Amino acid sequence: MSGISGNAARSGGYVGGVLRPHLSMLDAAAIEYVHEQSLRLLAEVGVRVPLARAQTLLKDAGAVVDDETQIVRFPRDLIESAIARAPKTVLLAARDPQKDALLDHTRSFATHDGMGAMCLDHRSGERRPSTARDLLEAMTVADALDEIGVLWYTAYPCDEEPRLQSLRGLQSMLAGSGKHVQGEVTDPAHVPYVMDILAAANPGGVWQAERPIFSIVYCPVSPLQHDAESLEAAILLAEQGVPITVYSLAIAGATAPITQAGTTVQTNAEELAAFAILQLAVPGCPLVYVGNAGIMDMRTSTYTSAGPEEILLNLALTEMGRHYGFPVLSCGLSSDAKELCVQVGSDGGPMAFCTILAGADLLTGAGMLDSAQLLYLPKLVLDAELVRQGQRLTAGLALDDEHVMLDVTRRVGPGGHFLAARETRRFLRNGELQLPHVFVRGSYDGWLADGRSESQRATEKVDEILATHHPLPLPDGAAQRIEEIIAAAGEEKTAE
Amino acid sequence: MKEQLTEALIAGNTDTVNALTQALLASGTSAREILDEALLPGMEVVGARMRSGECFIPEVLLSARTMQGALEILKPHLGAGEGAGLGTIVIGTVEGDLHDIGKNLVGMLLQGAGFAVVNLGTGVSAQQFVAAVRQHSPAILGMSALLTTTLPHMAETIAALQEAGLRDQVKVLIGGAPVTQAFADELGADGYGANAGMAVDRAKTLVAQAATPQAI
Ligand code: B12
Repeated sequence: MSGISGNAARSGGYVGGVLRPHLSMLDAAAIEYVHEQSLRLLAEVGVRVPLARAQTLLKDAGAVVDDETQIVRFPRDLIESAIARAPKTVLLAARDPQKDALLDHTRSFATHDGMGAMCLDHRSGERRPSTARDLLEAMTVADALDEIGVLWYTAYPCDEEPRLQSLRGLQSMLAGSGKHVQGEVTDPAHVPYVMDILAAANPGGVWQAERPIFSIVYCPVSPLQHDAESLEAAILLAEQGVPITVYSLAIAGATAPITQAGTTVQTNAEELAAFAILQLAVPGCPLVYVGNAGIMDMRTSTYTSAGPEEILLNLALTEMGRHYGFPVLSCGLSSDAKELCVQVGSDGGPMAFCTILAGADLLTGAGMLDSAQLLYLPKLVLDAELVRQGQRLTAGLALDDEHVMLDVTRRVGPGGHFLAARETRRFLRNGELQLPHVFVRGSYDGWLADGRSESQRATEKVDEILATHHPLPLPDGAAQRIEEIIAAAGEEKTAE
Repeated sequence: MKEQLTEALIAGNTDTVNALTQALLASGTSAREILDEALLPGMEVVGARMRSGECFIPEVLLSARTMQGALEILKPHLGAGEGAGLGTIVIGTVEGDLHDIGKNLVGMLLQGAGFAVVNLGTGVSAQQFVAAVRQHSPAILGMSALLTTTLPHMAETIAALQEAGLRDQVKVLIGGAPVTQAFADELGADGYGANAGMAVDRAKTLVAQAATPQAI
């Protein structure tokens, strides 16, 4: 951590330091209230957990399980001990150790949006089902962008055999990047194959639980339910040390109350219940809390991923997750727009900045249009630009005598200028002003002479990366080995 | 009174709708006439307002539920073969898929439009669909899939219907985020709905076509 925090002691006056903006909406009493309401929901209404193994664990831990409805009512201490037991920092390791994402609340790592099944082809302009190549390219582009810290299974390889899409997706992700990859495994039968693939991709050919290069997104089913198969798969993976991001994607108005307050409490309760189940199954397993929920557009009955209410939900939930001390993933950058337009930036930018300023460890949402359903690679480049701006915001304002530059101002005097000052050059080189990569500043004529639109500039950047960037190769023989593992999975599937 | 009934249905005013339906029956208006001239036109208006974005989905659902109540009142007065309305639809989310809001929404609006709906829930296997078709002899089988990985189960179900010799007796309507018209054509489904409004329209067209097969 560099600099002195803005809250540093200022005994006898201001001591100077870096002031970092922070966004907070809930005060201590409000946090307590949301927590208490969530516990009431879990104790009084409960959660359906249709998995015998989990029910047994829960019963033994003091939960009341209704054998007929499979609804579990959680006592307070069960939830609170899970909160205590869940790790407070989580390592999302990368094949390339320099790209590790340590979620320790000191910075926000951006990730893709996901996990959709369509692509707006940046070459042809056509909207079509996404392919393995699209996924690979989305990984490669993100691998090259420093602003993207963790990679998501952003689009399904729809050109692959449906039953093997998850495994094929994992293959593309590992081949396309040396950074940490996060995917989905909802079929317990896939777990052994997933672990074999991960071992093959790891340096040394073995899976290292203390350096997990892969994690999954696990979804409880709102309102207040779990799916037996997905939960089983998640537990099996947790046993291997695979970190789990618990994404309870409630949709306000449809699968959760229409109010932001109601959706906040329900989502928090769903997250806590999942944490409790997973901590009982695998004590100490690394989990990420998700401070995000969806909203239903009530005119078209579609899922909405942006807008002011989305920001309020993100803020409230991120603050709850941070209050418990968990690593938190929240959303920004996401947009309901169908094309590159003003809405993309206004949906995604403010939401991303708020999420970053609220202190989320992970910021999902990069690279997609149409409410996380339509992959568009140039948007990944533009989103990286927004993330850089967000990073500049959190880098904060250095406020001390040196930065106030009173001496320089005295030297320059009324009517002079600062362009020739040594300090101007020094601070410029030290990053006092961030320069955009793709966004435009400067003169109109300069822009005209350049002749390219924003989307052309972003598209060119994509093409340039794809032509020149080489992600960390897989270990020798790994690609071949992964092919064999997937072939074996395919054979078992057809034998079924 | 019929106009008032239509208005009350549009407003989702359950008590008034029930009272007016009963009053119309008592005054000798036939159940068929109440349905055709007051209730179904009301749902048409609601459907149109939904499509134009003038009213919100929860309001549409309220009208749909209100319609259901009126249908219950009318049922004993409708002829045996006449049914409450447009026929039966069996609907479910395919195996391996647990997304259910969209499917439920479609089910509720179909009910509101005058169909009797049998909702099989989520994770429904091809064999379970076939069994339900056998049991309920629906006019339409509706399948929902939200994942590209579960789409193949739609084809399996259609094949299973064929094998069971039931394919000719039921129209197949499909939907869900990854489903497209092209996919529906490829699959040999009879219809596709991108949203609940389209689902209702397609379902109505399908039963109308079935009633007058030579017209197409
Ligand atoms: C909410 C949601 C969930 C919830 C579902 C909760 C529930 N009770 O249903 C949860 C969080 C549990 C979930 C889980 C998963 N999900 Co999900 N989920 C969604 C999301 C965001 C919204 C779906 C929704 O409810 N929309 C609102 C309803 C009203 O709309 P709808 O379902 O599309 O239905 C309308 C039409 O499609 C149509 N329709 C629907 N059915 C039918 C049927 C007929 C007959 C007709 C005519 C019409 C019709 O009419 C409906 C009303 O207008 C979508 C994204 C999206 N925008 O669709 C992803 C989405 C479907 N999920 C996705 C994924 C990947 C998953 C998971 C695999 C994630 C994971 N890591 O585990 C799991 C899968 C679990 C499983 N085995 O099924 C991907 C699918 C990608 C793909 N390969 O196809 C999507 C597209 C996400 C994305 N990036 O946008 N998900």
